[in-house]
Amino acid sequence: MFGQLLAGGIAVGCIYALIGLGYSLIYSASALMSFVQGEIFMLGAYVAYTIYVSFQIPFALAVLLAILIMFGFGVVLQRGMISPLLKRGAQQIQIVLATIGLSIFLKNFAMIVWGSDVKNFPSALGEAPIRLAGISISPQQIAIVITTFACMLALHFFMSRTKLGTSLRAAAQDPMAAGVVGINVPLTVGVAWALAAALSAVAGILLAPIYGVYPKMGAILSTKGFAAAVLGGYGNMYGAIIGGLIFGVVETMAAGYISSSLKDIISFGVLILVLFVMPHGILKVKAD
Amino acid sequence: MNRIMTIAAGRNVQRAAALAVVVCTLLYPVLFPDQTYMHLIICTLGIYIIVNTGFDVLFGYSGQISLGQAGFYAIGAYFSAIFSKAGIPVLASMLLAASIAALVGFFLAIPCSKLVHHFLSIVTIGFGEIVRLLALNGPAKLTGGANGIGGIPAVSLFGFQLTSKAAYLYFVVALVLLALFVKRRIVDSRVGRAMIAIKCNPDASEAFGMKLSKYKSMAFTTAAFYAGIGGALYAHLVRFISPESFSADQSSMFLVMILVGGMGTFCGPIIGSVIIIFVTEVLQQFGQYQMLIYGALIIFVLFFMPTGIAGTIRKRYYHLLNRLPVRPGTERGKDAAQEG
Repeated sequence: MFGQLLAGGIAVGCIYALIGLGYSLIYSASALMSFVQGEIFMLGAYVAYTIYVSFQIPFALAVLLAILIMFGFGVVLQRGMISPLLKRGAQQIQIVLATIGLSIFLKNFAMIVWGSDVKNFPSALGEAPIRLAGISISPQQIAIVITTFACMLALHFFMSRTKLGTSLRAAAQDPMAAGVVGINVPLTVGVAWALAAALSAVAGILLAPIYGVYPKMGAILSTKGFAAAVLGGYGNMYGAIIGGLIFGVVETMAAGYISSSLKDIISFGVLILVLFVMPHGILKVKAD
Repeated sequence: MNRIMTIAAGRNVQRAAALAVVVCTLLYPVLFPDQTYMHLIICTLGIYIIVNTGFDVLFGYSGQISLGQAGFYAIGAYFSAIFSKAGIPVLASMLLAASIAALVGFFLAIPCSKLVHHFLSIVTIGFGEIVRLLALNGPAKLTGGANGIGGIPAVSLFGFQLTSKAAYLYFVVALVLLALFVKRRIVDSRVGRAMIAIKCNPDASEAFGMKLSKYKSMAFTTAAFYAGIGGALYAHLVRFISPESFSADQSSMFLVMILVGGMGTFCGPIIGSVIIIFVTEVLQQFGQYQMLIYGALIIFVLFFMPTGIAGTIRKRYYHLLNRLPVRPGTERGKDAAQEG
């Protein structure tokens, strides 16, 4: 029972971690809060669904295309909406308002284009569960964990080993100083938003075969991804991963041992308690 | 436009305008007794004004974001419904429910007073979700689960049952005026100034001997009480409540209202509530496109007024609205001289 729940919790936690990573990237690159990550998550799943099921394009190619499209969406979002708003003198809180507006727009856009029913997203890996040391795990759950860790490793190496990644971190620390030494700060901010969108889309595509695709799928997931990012220490990449895994495991354990209808109450309760003890999250960052 | 703003800045003009609005609202059910739908909308508007007025004390004056106001709103609605169905007089149960909301706000403020920005956002989001889920999954006998609570008794005042929407409207308007008056008294007091100081610079305020957690929790308690009253009013207006009415969308709607209207002002929450209610009613005719247009409209307005409607007006006409001295001889100077 414990091992089974732990495996399930880690799989769900990985999804939260991917979405949380997006929040953290956006915050560290531009010190902004975006409330549209959940809808990007939903849109990513819909785009992949449309390409894979409707256009009958092979799964791997379809997924790759969907991620690329959402990466582009992130660039357009940052360049077309966030950056112009900031130039016109909008404050942080107005960006929050704008992203709330966009999330309402996208949710209803999806409802009109794809309908509000749940679309079944066939898993490319089959449904037969794999038995491993007394625990049965679905292939999709394994795919979630492997993909998440691959994404994180790739992101880690991108951030620490490549020139663009290093300049992104530098620009996040001090945009003005980074600009002075010749880093293209608008480019790095755009890349951060695009990466955040791509990560959310990956999470959406990974979760789609389990829960199906529907317009409101992003609403609760975005809250939990946000919780993961905050729990781990907002703006900290590794914190988002830890936060996501903790949140996922706590939630699944609560569902398994106590009651599935009380699981969200318990996980949010734990979140409030943790933040009460550690007001800056688990991996402490300076909040100002 | 300058001239209009100068006129609008006059205290007597503002008083007259406020009086005119109140009188028009009060006369409306007398002149149009058949338009019960409009009565319902005005009542809802009044409820939102009350909730947002309290929220403004928390967000606009003390600078703490809350994305869980619907949680307090729900507490007010549910407790008032449960108490009044249990036989407690409606007015007493409304007051009791709002007090419970305030108490919950006070306890929530204990962890929250240490938190800022996104940390505070997620705790308040989590709180709102917890309240909604408790209403949904809690003891079904008490909250009715997903079916909610129906048959909530109407308010009775001095032996009169306020069953009609028109009668209820007068009750709501009276409470709105009371709520606005109390808010004015709070923000004009030492407590209110301390809240503003803490919002502007917490470190300096602490150095001056203000206890941050005390003022922050006062703001939380006030906002919770207002939201509780609003929720109770809602429950006895619609006389049916279910967890659906208290979702996270409701919380972000309160936030949108206050941001559109302008935070930290007397009129902001009123203007914001009026605009959002008006827009949602107008957009009703677009059917399934309603919310699509609503979302697009928010972004569109922000492009032209990046600091919200009230914020942009205030920035552009700051010196006029605050009646700051202007250079004599200019047209603005003449206006100011005439007005003063």
